[in-house]
Amino acid sequence: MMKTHKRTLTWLILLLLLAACAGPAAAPTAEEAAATEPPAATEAAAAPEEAMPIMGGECPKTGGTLRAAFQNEWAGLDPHTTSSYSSYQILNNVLEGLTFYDNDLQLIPWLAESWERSEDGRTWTLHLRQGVKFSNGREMTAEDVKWSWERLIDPATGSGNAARVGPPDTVIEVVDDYTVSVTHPEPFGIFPQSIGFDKSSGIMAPESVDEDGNVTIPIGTGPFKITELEGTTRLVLQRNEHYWQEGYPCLDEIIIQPIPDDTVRETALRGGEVDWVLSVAPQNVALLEQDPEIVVARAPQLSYDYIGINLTRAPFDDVRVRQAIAYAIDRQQLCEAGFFGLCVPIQGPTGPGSPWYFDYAPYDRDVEKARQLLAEAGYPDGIELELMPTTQYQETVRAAQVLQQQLAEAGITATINALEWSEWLEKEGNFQYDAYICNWNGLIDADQYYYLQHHTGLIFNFTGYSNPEFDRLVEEGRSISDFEERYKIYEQANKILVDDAPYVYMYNKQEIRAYRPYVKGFTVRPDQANNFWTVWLDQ
Amino acid sequence: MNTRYLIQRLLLTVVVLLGVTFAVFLIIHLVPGDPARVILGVQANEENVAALRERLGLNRPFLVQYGSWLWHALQGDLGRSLITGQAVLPQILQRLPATLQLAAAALFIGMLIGLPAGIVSALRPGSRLDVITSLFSQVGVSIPDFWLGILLVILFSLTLGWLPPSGYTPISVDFGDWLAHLVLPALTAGVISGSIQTRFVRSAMLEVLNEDYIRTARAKGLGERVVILRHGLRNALITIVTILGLQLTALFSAVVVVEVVFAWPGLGRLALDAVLDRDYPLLQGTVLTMAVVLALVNLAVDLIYFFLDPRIEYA
Repeated sequence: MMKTHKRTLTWLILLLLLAACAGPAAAPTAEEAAATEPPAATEAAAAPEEAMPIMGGECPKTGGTLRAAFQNEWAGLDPHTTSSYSSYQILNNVLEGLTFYDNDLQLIPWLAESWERSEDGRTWTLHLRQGVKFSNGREMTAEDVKWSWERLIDPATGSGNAARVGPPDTVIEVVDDYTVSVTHPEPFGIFPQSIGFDKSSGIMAPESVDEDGNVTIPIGTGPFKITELEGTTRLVLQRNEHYWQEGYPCLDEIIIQPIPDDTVRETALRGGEVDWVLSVAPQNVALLEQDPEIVVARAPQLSYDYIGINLTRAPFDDVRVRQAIAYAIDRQQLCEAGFFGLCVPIQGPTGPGSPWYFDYAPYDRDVEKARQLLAEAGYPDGIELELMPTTQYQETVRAAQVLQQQLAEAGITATINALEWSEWLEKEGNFQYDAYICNWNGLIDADQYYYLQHHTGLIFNFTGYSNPEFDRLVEEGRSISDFEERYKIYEQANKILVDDAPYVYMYNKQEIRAYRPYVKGFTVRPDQANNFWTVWLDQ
Repeated sequence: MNTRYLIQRLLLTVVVLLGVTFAVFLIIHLVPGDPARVILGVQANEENVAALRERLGLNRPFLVQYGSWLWHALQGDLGRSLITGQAVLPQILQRLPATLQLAAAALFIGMLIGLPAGIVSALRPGSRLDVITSLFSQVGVSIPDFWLGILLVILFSLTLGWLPPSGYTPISVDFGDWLAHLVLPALTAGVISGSIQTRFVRSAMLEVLNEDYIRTARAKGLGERVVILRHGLRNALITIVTILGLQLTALFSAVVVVEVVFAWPGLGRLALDAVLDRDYPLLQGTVLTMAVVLALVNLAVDLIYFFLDPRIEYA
């Protein structure tokens, strides 16, 4: 019974997703703590003298309603417990952090005007901007910062993003109304970068919590507030009249509804039912670009699609086997088939669009080399391998199908086990796989690429990779601030990592948005955040 | 019909509802996948997952979880969604009307197609008309609903621009808008339902038309119209009502897909999301609601039987 049920379910989901062809999507909001700004300094009071709203200028036109269509329904709006990409896309416009990444991905002061680090490197003191109000009209103070962060790092909250602020024993203290200090058990050099990255560490008013201890509608200091919430089928963001950046936001309101099916969503855009869509199926990009009534905006993602190999299982514990896999694949072809060419092949975690890109690419396709490596490892007749993509991200399933053929030529017999999200997460989290396919998302600093996903024993290290030399390098990398110096360190770390091949990197995708030409002031960001306060309607 | 029968019938319904909720709870717990992991996403580590499971009560034994759900459900509290934290009952009540409207409209369209097509082809089995309707219903039965839905969207929304491709307006807000949004999803589910109905109506009619009393009626010299409508259709209706009841049941599952395609804010979509997220309370709530609705439909079918055919007796 269970089997039939499962099969029907999988079948149904597969059909749905095929129909939907799950757009460019929604990477799994992967993230970790910490981000440094490439050229900017990390520690040592990184804030400029004068704090200013970075989006600057003014709205050419105010008022109006933007009708936006998302691909997925949001899964809860409590910034501390949700991990859903669709939820973050909403929270980005409701909550704000003490620091912020501007459209060029430079770290800038935001709700904090400045910050400094103590001599011993363990305590950060942040000075809040005065006169910032929550959307309910109450002024935000250091107490709210303390409350928000304490709730986030409380293990009972069960937040996957708690590490952005620090471990559970981090001490957060109110110095005065506009000053807060954060003391970490260990030096946390890139704390300002870490809290600028997503909205989990954004400041929420304690009034957001209802009598049962749940947050259904978070109250923040952002340009918009959530006014109508019809389950997960319709949500209205209304301008926050108390917003601290004068003259913003430009829009009166944004009506957000999920339309899961790609064709239907794009039809709604072309027919003028909606003004803006969050995701476009890659196969439809060319067609939409021909439509003069549609603007298709793209930016290279900082996230990568990759194969994670289970190092706790034979024969994948043998580096030669992993290298054989890396040699067996044709990344350009994968990009074409997996994402309709809207991507760039990569051989390490950082892509050519990143300031942390390293020109080290030893794995151009070489089937003979792959066979030879397998033979050296004791598998002259090849090996078997189960690929585990997820139906949640259809491009991973497409990639698996291409991989299957490419690997076969090198004597690796791959089977595909495409799982729905919930089951996939469980297997991935418990090392119950040979090789999974997914993307790692929304990264800015080298630390985010190299530390948490690859360091021995860390929480995002899902492959069981461990190399003491690599660990030493990435630990050193996060302790210093000079870009050039760090670049050299990560260059070495990158080489070790790519040679060890716990992950086989495939490509960077493009982030794609589409909207009507009268939607102005919108920027597609490589970190996938959609910020709407500068958006205005030219109609 | 007597009260004893009614009471028996209602008691049976309660047992069925209990069985259904238990079965669904069991199945969804047996299927791999964990709501705590869905909530935490790829950044979940074992520690976080364990803490969240504890907080959500997911580490309690299965029977305890079911018992607790049942106890609260009996008091009218269907709990809170694990994923969104919103109370389940208001969400369901908000979405139920949309599904009922869609299912009713689809059934209506199905009847508009199925009844005449079935009757006409039964009257002249093997005729060209019969072949055409059979072909139509064969295609209709085989066509996947999401595909038909997308074809209709491409034709009526994209190409012709007559109807909105997705969305929903409550009937109380704007009737015209409500209708415009209803047409395509109802047509999608309705065409498929109609082609199934065609086959059932045809065979029900054929069977009845071969009965002795039809021959008697004809022998009495009654007009063909009276024979077909009063004697034939009246008796075939018993079977047809059963079919319609079953069809409504089937539509409830068909609308899951249709609701997703057309972004129709109904229960089906809610249930699907609940399954994918392993959102146990939400899934239990939607399943219970659907089961209640279907139990009522079955009850109605039984009652209609009684009125259609006084010979039916209930022991």
